[in-house]
Amino acid sequence: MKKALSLVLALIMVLSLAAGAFADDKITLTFVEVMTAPERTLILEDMIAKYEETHPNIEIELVSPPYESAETKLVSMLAAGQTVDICEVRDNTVGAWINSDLLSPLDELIGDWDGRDQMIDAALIAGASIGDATYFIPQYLYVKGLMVRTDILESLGVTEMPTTWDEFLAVCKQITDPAKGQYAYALRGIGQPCKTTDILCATMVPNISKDNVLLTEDGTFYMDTPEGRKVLEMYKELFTECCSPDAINWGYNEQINAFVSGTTPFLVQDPDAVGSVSGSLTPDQYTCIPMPLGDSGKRYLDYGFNGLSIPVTSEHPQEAFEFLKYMVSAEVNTAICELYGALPVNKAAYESSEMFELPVYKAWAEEMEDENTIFTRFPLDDPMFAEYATTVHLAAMQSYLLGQSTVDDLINTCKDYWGY
Amino acid sequence: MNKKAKKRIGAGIRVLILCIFLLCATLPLFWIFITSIKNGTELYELPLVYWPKEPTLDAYKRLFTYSDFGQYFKNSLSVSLSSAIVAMILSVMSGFALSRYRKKRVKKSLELLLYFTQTIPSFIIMLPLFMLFSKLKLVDNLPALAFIYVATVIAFCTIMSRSFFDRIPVSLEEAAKIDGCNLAQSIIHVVLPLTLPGIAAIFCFAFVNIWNELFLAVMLINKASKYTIPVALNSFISKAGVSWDLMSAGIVVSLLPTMIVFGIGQKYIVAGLTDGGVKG
Amino acid sequence: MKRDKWYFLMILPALAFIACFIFYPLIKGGVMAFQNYSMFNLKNIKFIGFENFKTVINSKSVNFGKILLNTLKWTLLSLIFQFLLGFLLAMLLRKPFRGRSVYCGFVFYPWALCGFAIGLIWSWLFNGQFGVLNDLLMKLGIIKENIGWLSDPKIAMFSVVIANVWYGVPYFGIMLLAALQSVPNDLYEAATLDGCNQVQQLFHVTIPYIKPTIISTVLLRSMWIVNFPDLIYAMTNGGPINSTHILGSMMINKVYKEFDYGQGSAYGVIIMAILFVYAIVYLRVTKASEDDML
Repeated sequence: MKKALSLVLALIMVLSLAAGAFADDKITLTFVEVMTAPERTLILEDMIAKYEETHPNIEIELVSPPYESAETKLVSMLAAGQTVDICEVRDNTVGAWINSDLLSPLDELIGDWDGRDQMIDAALIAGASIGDATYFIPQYLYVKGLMVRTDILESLGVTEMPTTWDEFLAVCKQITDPAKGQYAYALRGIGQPCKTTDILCATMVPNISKDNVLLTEDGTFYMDTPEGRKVLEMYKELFTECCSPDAINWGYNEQINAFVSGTTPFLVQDPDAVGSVSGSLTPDQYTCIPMPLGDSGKRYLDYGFNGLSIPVTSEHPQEAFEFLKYMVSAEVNTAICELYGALPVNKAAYESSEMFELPVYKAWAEEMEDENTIFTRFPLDDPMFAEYATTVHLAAMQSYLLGQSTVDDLINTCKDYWGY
Repeated sequence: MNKKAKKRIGAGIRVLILCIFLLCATLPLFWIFITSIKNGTELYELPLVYWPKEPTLDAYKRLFTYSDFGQYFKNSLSVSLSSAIVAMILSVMSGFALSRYRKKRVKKSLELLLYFTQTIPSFIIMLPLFMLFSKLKLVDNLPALAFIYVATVIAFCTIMSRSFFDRIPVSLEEAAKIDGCNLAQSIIHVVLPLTLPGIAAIFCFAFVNIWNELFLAVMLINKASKYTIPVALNSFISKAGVSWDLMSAGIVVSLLPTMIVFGIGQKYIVAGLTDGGVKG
Repeated sequence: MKRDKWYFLMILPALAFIACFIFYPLIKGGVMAFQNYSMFNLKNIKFIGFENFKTVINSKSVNFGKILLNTLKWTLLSLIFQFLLGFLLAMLLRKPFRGRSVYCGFVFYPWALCGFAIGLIWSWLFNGQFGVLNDLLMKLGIIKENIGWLSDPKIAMFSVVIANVWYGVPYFGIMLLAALQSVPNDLYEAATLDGCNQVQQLFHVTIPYIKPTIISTVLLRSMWIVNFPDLIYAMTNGGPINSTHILGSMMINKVYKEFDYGQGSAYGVIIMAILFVYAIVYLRVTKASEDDML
């Protein structure tokens, strides 16, 4: 009996050792997503399963922290030296991560990777925009556009789409009727509203710097110019006369709901909004038109993006980069963007996918190619930007819109904060 | 007005107020329940849909299929149960000892220390704990998480259990001592039976607090297979806002065990001090 | 005195847990409050003295005095209503009736929900477009225009307090109900014989008898409310115009939105300092530390 038992034990040991040896052959890559959403995680898991099938020696461990704390979690993992092989990075924070030496430069790994040729130009520009080397490969892009509910506008007698700020405000006033619950514009009140407001308002100012949307070419804060003041007055008019008073507390979700229900047929959003509305609206009910032009006949836009990086804590950067390439390949990139709606970086996505053939995406492409469109950027790599976006600008703008402070208070608060 | 009528009016008012309390407490949950059985479009329909035309359990199905809610449930249950039991045992010991401690100065400073722990916001210990756990390779380790939870509730549990033991006269133990019991025996045979309901109450409090803890769990758990319920619920919030169908179904399901523990527990809590209340 | 040694040994495990998992990280976190510890600039972590506290208190973006005032409002309003309603509920439940335990289960369950979920539930009820509350009030003809529960800076604080009261009533309900059960009936009988009416009984018998419970539950609860920004974070995140920002929600924002653990910890230390002073004064005033406390 004893003999049999020891035999069994020995067998188990041998087996487990063997299993251990097999396991050692396998390379485990840890992949942290930060744009976590229930449906999105499912797609990622799907794609990972496919990859593991064709790469039997690789195992991908997906970490999906809840969206609200995802970046805090990721950066804490990196700061604590936990092994992360691939992570998603966002435009708001990637500069900071690079400054803190958390991400590895990818130039050597990229080498002569031909996948670059498959990427749209904007992605390449965005990818090289921060830091002295390439630290991330974009997965998808955001560009603001003016989304419109064509069906609602038609029923309200609007057939001509506004092209300038003046026309936009006029149309909005024309269709608003609070008694019937009809408003015009889905204002963004919380959650970094400056990324909408500053883009919308800076457009009025003729000489915005190409490096910083908040400044003019001669370094003046954009609000603190005659045109800036004028547009801020117009923006307040837009809020008081054409928006639901509740909008002061609206985030992405409320904006989308208002647009879908038709309460507000105008919405300034990124193309990922299409992903959110396409389940409830048919393609002929809405489209996108270029952002309204300022008096100077120009509009200023910025590229937002989400990308993939390889942190310095990765133990297998080579393998990680292989997986990264897979993530931006035509198949994966298309699948993720179809679900999410943002602009894919892979050219093939625009040709193979029905979704990106939709008129609404054509409109986005037109806006980006329009000769009046000038691309600039937010000072995202400045450590002060986060507080500006989440607290300073947010509260000052709310207070101004609700009539608790003057336009000068708003301008001075923001200007003082930056020290412009 | 005669006495009988007065009494009747009094009873009527009592019932009325109790009903108002009941309505206020249950209506929000009722609305969440309605939300959980609506289909996708009814969620955002105006005018509001008060009762779905075709109630659907779809959200519950998805909760258990494509979110692994069953697993999270198990995780939460094992962590909450084990740490609540440990916290209960430890706090019975410490609470009794604190109650019987004789040196006033030590006793008072210990007490102050316990109150002091209640002033600590969990965000201040979050990152250091995470760093510590990373170093010790304990991230994703549910038993390690359970240890932390014991620490987070133990102070309050001790304060509570001490108050229960304070109500038991010391004379009972002294009598037991004369009968030849040692300290352990007198606690087990004499004191504990009297405070059993109070101990059940401590267990409930610990269980509910641990079951609901979010911020530390988010930091200390990476793998989805180790999520606890609050983390899973939290992950139904994305950039696009709250997935209300999943969220409402998740909330309803997550309430079940706490309500059961609580339903059983509250009887003890209410009865606890009466039975144990030899002295007030 | 020999027994005291045993007693100390019995307290030791609990203390060990607190020391390892609360005090050790607390010291590290406390140190961070004096460091330039931002995830935006990890290469440059260094001691900067009281700089974080200065930045937080002199912040241009949010008025620190207003944050303190909001914290006071949030705590005091929540506490008073939680206590009064909880006390009323406990009094009504004192005498048994059929189905009392089922009733208790349904009235007390809010306490068994997690904080951010409560915040979500209430922001869903208060929602300006799809909120059921406005719709119901409108149907009942109580209001004519939608109320901006969470978007009107004058109302928002009350809205979050309502949610917090909803969550907190059960705590006082349970604790006070338990205490009420322990009041011996003969005390009431004696009071009735002395000609006390109901109100007099309340003030001369009930309240004095359960005073220790009241004192300790109120102390603990008030500290917990200060440290419970979860609701605010989920419902308004401090807005509109910072009208609902309290110390705790500022702390979450510093960590989650600005990745600044230094300033976040500074808020944490300020919260602890305020609460600790409060607790000592409170215990002194109520002279409860000497007597038995529930």
